[in-house]
Amino acid sequence: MRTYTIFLKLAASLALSFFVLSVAYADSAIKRRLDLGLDINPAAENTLLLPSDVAVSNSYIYVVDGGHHRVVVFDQQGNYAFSFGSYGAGKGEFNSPVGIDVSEGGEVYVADTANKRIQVFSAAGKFVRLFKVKSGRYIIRPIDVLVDEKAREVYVSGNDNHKVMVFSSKGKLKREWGGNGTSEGEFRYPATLAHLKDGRVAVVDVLNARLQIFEKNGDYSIQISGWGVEPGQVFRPKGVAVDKDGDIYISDSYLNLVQVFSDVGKLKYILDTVAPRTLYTPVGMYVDAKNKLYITEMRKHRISVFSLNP
Amino acid sequence: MLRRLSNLLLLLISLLVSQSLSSAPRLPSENRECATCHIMWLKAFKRENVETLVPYDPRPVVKTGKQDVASTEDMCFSCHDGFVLDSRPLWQSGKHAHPVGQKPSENIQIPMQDGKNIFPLNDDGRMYCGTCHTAHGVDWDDKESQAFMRVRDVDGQFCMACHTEKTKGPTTGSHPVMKKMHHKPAALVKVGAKFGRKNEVICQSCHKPHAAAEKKLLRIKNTNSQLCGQCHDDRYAQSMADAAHLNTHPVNIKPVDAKIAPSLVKAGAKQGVNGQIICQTCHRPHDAKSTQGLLLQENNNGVLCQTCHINKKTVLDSKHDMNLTDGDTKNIRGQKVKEGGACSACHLPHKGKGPKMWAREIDKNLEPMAALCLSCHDKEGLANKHTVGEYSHPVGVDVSRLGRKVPLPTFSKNGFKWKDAIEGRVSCASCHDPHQWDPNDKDNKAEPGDTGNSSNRFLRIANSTEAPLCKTCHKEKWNVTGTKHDLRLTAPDAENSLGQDVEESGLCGTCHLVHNANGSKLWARDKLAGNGTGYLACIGCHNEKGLAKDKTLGEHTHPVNVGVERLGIVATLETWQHSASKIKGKNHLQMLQALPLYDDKGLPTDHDGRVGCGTCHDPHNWSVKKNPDERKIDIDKLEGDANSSFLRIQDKGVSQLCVNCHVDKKTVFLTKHDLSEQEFTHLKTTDDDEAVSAQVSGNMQGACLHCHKPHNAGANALWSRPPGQAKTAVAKLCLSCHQQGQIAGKKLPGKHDHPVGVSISLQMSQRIDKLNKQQQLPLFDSDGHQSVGADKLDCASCHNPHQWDPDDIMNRSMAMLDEEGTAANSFLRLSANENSSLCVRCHEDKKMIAGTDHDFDKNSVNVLQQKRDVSGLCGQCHVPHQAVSDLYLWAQPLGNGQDAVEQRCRSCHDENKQAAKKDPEQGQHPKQIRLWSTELRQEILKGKNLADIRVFDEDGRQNNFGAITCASCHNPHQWQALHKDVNTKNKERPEKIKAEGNVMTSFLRNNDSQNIVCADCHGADGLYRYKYFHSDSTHVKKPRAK
Repeated sequence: MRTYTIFLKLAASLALSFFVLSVAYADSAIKRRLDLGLDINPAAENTLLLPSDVAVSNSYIYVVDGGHHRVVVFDQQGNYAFSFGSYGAGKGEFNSPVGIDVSEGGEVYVADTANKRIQVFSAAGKFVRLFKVKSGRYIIRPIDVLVDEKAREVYVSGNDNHKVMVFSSKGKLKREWGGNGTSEGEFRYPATLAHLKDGRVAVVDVLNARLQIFEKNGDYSIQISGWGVEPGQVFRPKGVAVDKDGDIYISDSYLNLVQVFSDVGKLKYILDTVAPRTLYTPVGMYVDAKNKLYITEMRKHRISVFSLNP
Repeated sequence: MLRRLSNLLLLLISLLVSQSLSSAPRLPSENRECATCHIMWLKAFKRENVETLVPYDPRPVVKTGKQDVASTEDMCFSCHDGFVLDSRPLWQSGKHAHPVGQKPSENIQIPMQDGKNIFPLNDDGRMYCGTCHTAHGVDWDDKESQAFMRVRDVDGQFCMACHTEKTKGPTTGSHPVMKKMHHKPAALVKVGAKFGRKNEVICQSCHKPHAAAEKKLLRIKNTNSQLCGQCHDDRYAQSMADAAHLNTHPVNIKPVDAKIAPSLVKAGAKQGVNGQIICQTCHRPHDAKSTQGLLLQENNNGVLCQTCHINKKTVLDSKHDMNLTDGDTKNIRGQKVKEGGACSACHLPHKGKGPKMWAREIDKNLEPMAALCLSCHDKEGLANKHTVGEYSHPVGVDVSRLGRKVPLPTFSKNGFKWKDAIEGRVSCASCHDPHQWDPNDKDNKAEPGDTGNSSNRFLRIANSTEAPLCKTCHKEKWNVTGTKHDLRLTAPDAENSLGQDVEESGLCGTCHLVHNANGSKLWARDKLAGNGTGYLACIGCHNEKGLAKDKTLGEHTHPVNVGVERLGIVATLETWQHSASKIKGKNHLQMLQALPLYDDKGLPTDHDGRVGCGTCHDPHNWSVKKNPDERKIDIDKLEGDANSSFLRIQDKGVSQLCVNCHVDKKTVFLTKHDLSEQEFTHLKTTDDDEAVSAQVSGNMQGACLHCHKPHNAGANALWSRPPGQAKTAVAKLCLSCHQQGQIAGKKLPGKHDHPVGVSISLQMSQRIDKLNKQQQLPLFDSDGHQSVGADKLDCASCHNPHQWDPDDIMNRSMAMLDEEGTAANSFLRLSANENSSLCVRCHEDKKMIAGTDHDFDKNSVNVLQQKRDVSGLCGQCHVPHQAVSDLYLWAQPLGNGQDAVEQRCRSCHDENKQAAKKDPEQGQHPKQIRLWSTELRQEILKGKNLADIRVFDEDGRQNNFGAITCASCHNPHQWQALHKDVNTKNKERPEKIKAEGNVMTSFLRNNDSQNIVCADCHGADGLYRYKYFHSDSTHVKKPRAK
């Protein structure tokens, strides 16, 4: 019986992929060129090393500087402000962190990946609390963290269990979904997370090369994009962000581009940069309240900022 | 059934997939598993009318060269960036990683299999990620190795597959691999170092292929051999002291004596960041030139050692070059000298046997540094003809006691060397430089058999007649120059025990030999036989036949070989402390100048030291003033005084040296016995101008030396004055002054004095012994010594001639001769005032007189016109000196009586006298004994001696044939009869008895019979008679019956 179920899911998935591909292929030539608004590429001792994600509050730009096991903070002009954290397993210390998010209240949530925990800091970088990412009897490596402040919930993508877990703000697991697989609602290495404009949750499914959208309760909604090298397809999707219009941005760290989809999965355009600026290894992204898009370019060790306003 | 079919289908699929993954050649497939990395296998690239997001380029040219797109760094990192797997810690820009994009060097031999490299190179023949890694999941059938390596990576096999030249250990000049480690260094474990499955060292123990922290792919810094030191911690020193502690060649220090030769640097020698010597200065972990010890160049005959230690090359061809003396001798590693070279005969760079990386067996019971030299210079050693003997210059002594920098090297126990320091221990190498025979001529290597002299012999400084080497440390001893102890002046022809005259031996050598001396103090001259407390050497000259025969000690000389504890001194080498000083009843610690005390061998000691000549005398310093002008005078006419004479402390007119030990005698100062004051005053009143002039000239002697002489004294107690005429030894000393015409001519003892020279009774002796535990009342033998068993009273039994007031050491009477003493002072050992404590120490049975009618009131006066407060309790009836008579040392005018006893009683008990109310005019007891001849005698005596019936002759002496007198029935010191316990108060005796007595009181003596005292003679019959005649009814005549 289980085999039949697997076959059915596989067939459904293939059909949906075909649908998505068809949509994307139709508008593949559309590109939107954006001027670089801000180049966060600090020098000297504040140099970033393999940054993986970015989150922006009204005051600061928080960048996960995973190579240095810390979070580096910049002001809105991209000037270095301060940093917090260092290598270790103590409170406020990090071991190879990946994802980050900022709550509306300004609290900074960091996926402290190798320490298998979520750490919460004040806007000024002062340690507030932490909780282990515990699913059943396992403690999971978190990749990204997404805060739903109104619901007082924290979404966490799990690297080991290929699940999305929802914790209370105090760290109690409330629900989870997913698992290792290729079917709807399953993941092969879920990565970054974002809220759609309507509140649904977008999850980058890296090796399944797709973006899966879920209701807040975990019910599967739709898939956006799929595996391939044609416009509208993704090869190594890593980052996801949603602008004020509800458009969805997906970065591809191998193809070195960002594609923009509508909330129903239609490819709207491919983000283009003004030469000679090119994107290289784009990973975590963020759209702030001013509708500016922040793209983390991991192997360029920088953050590129584009204004999405016309 | 359906489940079984599905399982079978899955198995079939997995087998097919597995086959496709593991077996070569692999066919291009758009299958997700393949195209996840082999992106160009996607059919989209081949479809027409498709604009792919990236161009088709299956073998792009990337940083590492032209290669398959699936194995580019971009492809690998598209997953290993932390979002899928996390290789960020290994891939960090700026860190050191195994080279890619390079062609393997000539030394690399990539193993082949089926005609192909096991580790493939890219299209340009360069290394790339895929050279070592494969994504095709090689199954190693265990969990010990990562699956994505092309060759199983355990026990360093992966690295060694190509780097074969670095894996064969020291034979090919490389650090050994697969050698068992004694521990896993924590610092290496912390940075993820890998070890063999059985804790062996492997390539990855030191190296890290990706994200290595340091150059050469090293896991930790090695600029100062930090990495080497992790495992070789037994030879990784941080300082010279550390190196000494580890018995290893120092590292991490900048060479001082040695110098890292440019030729060595050219040969690849590394230095620390600040030019320090480090492990890699001599060693190379790979490509070493010497297979033994991975040295960067061969070390035959110590050439590597000598490259840096140029200044030690002078040992070659010297007598310490073992190649010349015994080339076949082996070091502790079994190396023959002729094979290992001169250096390795004595030193090993690591794992030596003792300090200085010693390469020979040593005796661990010896002083560690000296043990090195003695490993050869011993009776059974190679240098058995050059031993140091039982008495040799001390080693292991801390030079800090000199209190100044010593320009010769000193050492720690483990061989750390100080130079020009105020610390460290003396050792052989302090005076000797074992690497250079002649300090003044480096080319002088000495002929075999050459015994040398004090100018060479591997000495650091040539020691000529002026002994500059000795003088380096013993500077203060150089003051002997020009003194009577400078034998160059006083005995130029004298020879030391080696038969050397002064010219040969040098100044120091006349009395001292550094090695093979005659005894303690490294004595180089004849000394008296036997061991002693540092005086036998002195006596060797200061005897009637010695060099100093005019300076002998005499019969009466200050004792030696005695401790100072009995003087209340707690002594160490550094401090002397006196704790017995009492001022107003409180103990006061007093710091004294520490003087040397000696052990059995005559060496200064900290424990149980005893007085020797050197305690008072410093034979190298004529005077502590060290006035050089004094030494220019004629040495033969030079005569010492209390401020010179090689004394350690000058007298300065206050006997500073004497009272440094005899602290309790300081109380004599400013008393009438302080003759430095008295004699001066006395002399001034005489016509002896010369004597006065001598005193005034400043040649003052302190109080002590006026009565005592430390040597050649005239009598016991080191007496320096002409003794007086007296019966006892102590009294003679006292009468030196207390006789007519002498200083104390006004203080004569008189005709009737307290007896001296008499042995006290056993009972009294025991009592005194008991009391002496509380207060010293010394007894003497006939020679005036307080020897063991001495039982004779003498003046000093009651008197302490050094302290005027026994209760107040600050009361000195201010040396005023006219100051009259009382029973409370007068140099008494205890106050005789009040209750006459001094008297009752011996005459304890007399102390019950206190409070009775015989305890005189304050207005009474004795024959010396002393009132009660001056004379004390006993002193109203008895005085120790100038008494009226010997009998009772009576102190009151005698009264009229028929015998001597009655005369003394009637001093008071007579008409118009103090006790006139108790004048027994009538009804006196008859004098004669009438019962004595009757048969009742035996019954009365009841076996008692006749003497117990107290009869006295006319002179008051108790004998067997005298008559009855007052004392026959009375004990004037005891109010109540039967009051035998002297330590309890008489319950019936008030403070002053004013009441009439009765037959049980009235100063009647203790009765021997069971009744009253009368019954002792008269028996029970006497009692009845008494009762009959003394009852109230007896005297009332009854009217006759009519």
